[in-house]
Amino acid sequence: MNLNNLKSGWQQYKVMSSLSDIQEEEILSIIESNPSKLSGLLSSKITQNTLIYAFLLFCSNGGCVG
Amino acid sequence: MNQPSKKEFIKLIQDYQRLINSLCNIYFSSEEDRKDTRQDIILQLWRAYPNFRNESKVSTWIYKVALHTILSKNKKEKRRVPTESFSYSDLSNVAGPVFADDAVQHLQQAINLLHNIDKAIVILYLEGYSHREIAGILHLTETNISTRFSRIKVQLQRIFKIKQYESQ
Repeated sequence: MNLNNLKSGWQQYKVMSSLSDIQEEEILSIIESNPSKLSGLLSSKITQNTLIYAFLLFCSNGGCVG
Repeated sequence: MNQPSKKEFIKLIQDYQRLINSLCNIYFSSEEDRKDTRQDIILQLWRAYPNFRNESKVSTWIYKVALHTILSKNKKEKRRVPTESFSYSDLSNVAGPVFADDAVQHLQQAINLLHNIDKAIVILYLEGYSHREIAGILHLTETNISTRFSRIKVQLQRIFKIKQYESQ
């Protein structure tokens, strides 16, 4: 089977896309909504890790005993 | 990132949107999935954009990010296209719009019956990438690509034989 026979089909397929062209506003809304999500995710991860670290530190120092 | 970079990025996406659209079309059947995936790809490209240093062609970079986004999305959602057993109904119900052109229709029907990674290999091959380059883009070994490629050829041969038989 020679796959080269499908090359012209692929070139045509790329041109015949059914999705509408993406507008500048749409790209901007995608990339501008990203940083807030990312920073929210990061801060919750930091909080979570700090709590785990504090708990481990507390346990390794003997906890409430004494 | 500053405003000129955003402008550059928007221009880049608009210049290469046909490539992104065609990947979304070939991997997803519903318009909603295609649009969602296009958004995911643009977001991943934006995140990777600061590290893009023109060491590879822009299209290679876009293929790499886009295909990894699609493959991981499909993995998460466990959407699998049948690979081994296929029939007339598979051939007539494949994803994507039906085009009048024979070459496009054959390609679309054949590719849509392949496994996700095999589909990516065929697309990259049709774009003119070597086995080594495909291996680099998909993070696989060259041997793995060669093995899969031989299997894909056999599989496509079977698909086209069925098509020929059905059209008689």
